[in-house]
Amino acid sequence: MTNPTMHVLVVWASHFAMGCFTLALAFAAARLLRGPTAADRVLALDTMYINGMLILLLLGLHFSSELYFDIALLISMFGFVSSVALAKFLLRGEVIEP
Amino acid sequence: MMDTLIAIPVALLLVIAGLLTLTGSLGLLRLKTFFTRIHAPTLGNTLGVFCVLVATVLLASADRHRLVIHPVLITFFLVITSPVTAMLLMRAAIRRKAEALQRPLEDIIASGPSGEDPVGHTPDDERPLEQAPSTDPALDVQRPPASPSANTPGS
Repeated sequence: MTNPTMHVLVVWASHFAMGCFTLALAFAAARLLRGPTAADRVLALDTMYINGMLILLLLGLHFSSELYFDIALLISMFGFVSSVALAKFLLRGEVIEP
Repeated sequence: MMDTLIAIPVALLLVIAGLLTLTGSLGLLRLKTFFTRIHAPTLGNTLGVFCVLVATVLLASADRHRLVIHPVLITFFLVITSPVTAMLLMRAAIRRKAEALQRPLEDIIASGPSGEDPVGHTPDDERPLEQAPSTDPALDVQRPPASPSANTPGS
């Protein structure tokens, strides 16, 4: 349920921002499917996890819940690790070098 | 009224964040080569996350009548990690392009980001190695008009 004490301006702005983030996620997914090189796909995945994290933060603001913040922090950390691992794999051919 | 005084900047920040993130992803979809494409999301998304987190801090602080600072943690983390990812991806893309075209790294860097199409789409990909180490960077610009002139005597 939406927080009843929230101002109507904030509610509409968060609806607008949610639409923008969802559209941005769809654009990044289109680039992920279409990208000509492997680096394009990794970049699209990097954009996608940031957009998903933004959607979660906005849900936390909208429902005034603390749980979404922890999920967003976890997505941020794991997304960074996975992006660096993929970029390292593209750079060298292996992730952890002996 | 205190509520409206907080609601106006929060709504403004949310709208700005939505527009910035949408611009970044639209640039990721629309720009031509990879080296121009990497600029759009790394710039747009960092600023979008910053705006959303400032809005969260404002709203939570007004809600609980104390300063709630912990959403800044995500911004701090993202400001550190986003350039690292972008830099590694750019180095990987330059190296893979140089390996695919069989030219030295400095040649790829000197020819600029808008030199040719992305890797694998150049028609002269499998040309012989004698012409490959072109020390002249102006050769890249002259190569597309040079190929139709080769078969003009036949026509």
